[in-house]
Amino acid sequence: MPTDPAHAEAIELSLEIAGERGGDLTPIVYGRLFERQPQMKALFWRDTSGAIQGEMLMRVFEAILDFVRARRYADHLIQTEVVTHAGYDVPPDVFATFFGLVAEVVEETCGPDWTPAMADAWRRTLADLDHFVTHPEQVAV
Amino acid sequence: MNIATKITPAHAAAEVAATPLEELNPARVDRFYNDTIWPVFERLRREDPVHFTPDSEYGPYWSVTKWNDIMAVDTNHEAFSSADGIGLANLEAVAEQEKVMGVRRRGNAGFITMDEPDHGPARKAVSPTLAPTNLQTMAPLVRERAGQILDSLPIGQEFDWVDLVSKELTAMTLATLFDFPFEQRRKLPWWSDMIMNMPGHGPVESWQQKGEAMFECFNAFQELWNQRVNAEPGNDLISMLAHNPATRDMAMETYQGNVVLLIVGGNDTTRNTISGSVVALNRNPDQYDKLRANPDLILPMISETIRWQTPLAHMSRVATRDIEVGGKTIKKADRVVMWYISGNRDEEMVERPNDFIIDRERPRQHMSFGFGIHRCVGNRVAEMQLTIIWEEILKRFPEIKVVGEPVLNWSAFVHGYESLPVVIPYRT
Repeated sequence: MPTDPAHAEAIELSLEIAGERGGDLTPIVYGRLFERQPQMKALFWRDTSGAIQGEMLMRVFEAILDFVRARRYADHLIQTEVVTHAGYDVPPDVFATFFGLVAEVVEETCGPDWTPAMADAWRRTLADLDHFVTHPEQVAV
Repeated sequence: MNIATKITPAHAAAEVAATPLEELNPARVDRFYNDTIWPVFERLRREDPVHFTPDSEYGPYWSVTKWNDIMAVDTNHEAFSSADGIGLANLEAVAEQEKVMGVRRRGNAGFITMDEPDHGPARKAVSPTLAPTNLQTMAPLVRERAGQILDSLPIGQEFDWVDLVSKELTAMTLATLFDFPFEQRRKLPWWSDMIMNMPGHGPVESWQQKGEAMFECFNAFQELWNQRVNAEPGNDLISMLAHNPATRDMAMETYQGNVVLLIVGGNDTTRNTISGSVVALNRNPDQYDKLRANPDLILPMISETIRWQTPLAHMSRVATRDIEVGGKTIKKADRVVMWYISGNRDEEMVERPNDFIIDRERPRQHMSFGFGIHRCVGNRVAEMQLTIIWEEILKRFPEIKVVGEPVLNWSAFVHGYESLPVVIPYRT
């Protein structure tokens, strides 16, 4: 079920502001991921330029935008990413950590422009995302 | 021997424009062979992004041609099954092959042709070998062998890049991953070619010869299985399959399917990207200059080549229920083809998609590895090999010069090169 249009707008606006203010958020987001889940760093040994991390973060932003709008694929993409990452011993809780710290970094980067509506929209979106992270099996409709 | 004649891009574009939309069959192989496929996908993305071909040499099928629609199909494995095969199969070829090899279940190419819940554990049996951390251990060996290949190349003389470099490097890496007898490594790309081609194309002369080659391949891998299953667990792919509880009791046909998947998947994609990078850099000398000036561009150049080349043009699925994609209703049991080669040129997702630009803002934005649970399990191995070979090339050769027209594969699935004549003028 796609998000309420008002929430979708709040998420979009927060990402837009964070993009304008913070530029490339990749080093901050991944820096925090490696602090909280240090075992993840070894998976990026080839990524000396940060390009792989950068593309993954862009895909996460695109997926969040699709998730809160038309939801053409993002719900299924999240489920399948959980499954494929399990093959590399990446547990589902890493996804929850990751989405959470994306929200955290966006909030910090927005600074004084962060609004209660954005906070509410992100809280709901994280809860919705968590459902697909913890239920990766796709069920026939 | 290839039976098609070359036609010009202008003729091809005119022909596509004049064809009634409902008669467009994007999987027509001669267009891939002649490199005239692009106007077909440009028209479909513009006029009919989810397109139905009612009658073709493959039977009826849907074509999904835009990025977001492909994502919707690729990530929804509940509604789109892989169990009945992941490529379009020429119906006449299937009938001929069955005469020689007997009736085999459609699909049957290992875990890529399994649905959940069977797929996950089977894929997980091999993924540790292909995971980033394991590749770190393997990288020095790949580098050493890549160096040996490059140091053995003739200087100032024409040779076939596909044969001496692309096939050789992938054969060496695959032999390492399988712990396959190293002196017999060239059998691996040869078997891959025999599996993927029809008589008259690649090395395949007859259905009989093709069948014999496949049986030879299966027998060789049965022998490997027998060795590994009775030995201590090792880190190679066959040992992983033989000892993992999820796969050790699989049927022989399933094992053979996994062998086909790993040989073809490990071979065609990487090798055609290696060849594609040489072609693309020669057609875009300004990009080649950029690369020479800044070797940090190797990794983005590899990603750009993977997008630009799209070594596997499509994957297909079968709908498990009626479902809407891009405003069209796909019926249960309909075959659906996701054209990655078209998604990678989707103007709404990639800026100047027909251009080869190695320093794009988002070089890794491509769908050549697919998405969803069947996303290429070997994508990191492919990228590692490609990066290493280019690092070693730039240390040695200022230029690899394409000196004739490349010959393309006769396939709407593997989008690559039969041969590529080159000269290396001199060593650094």
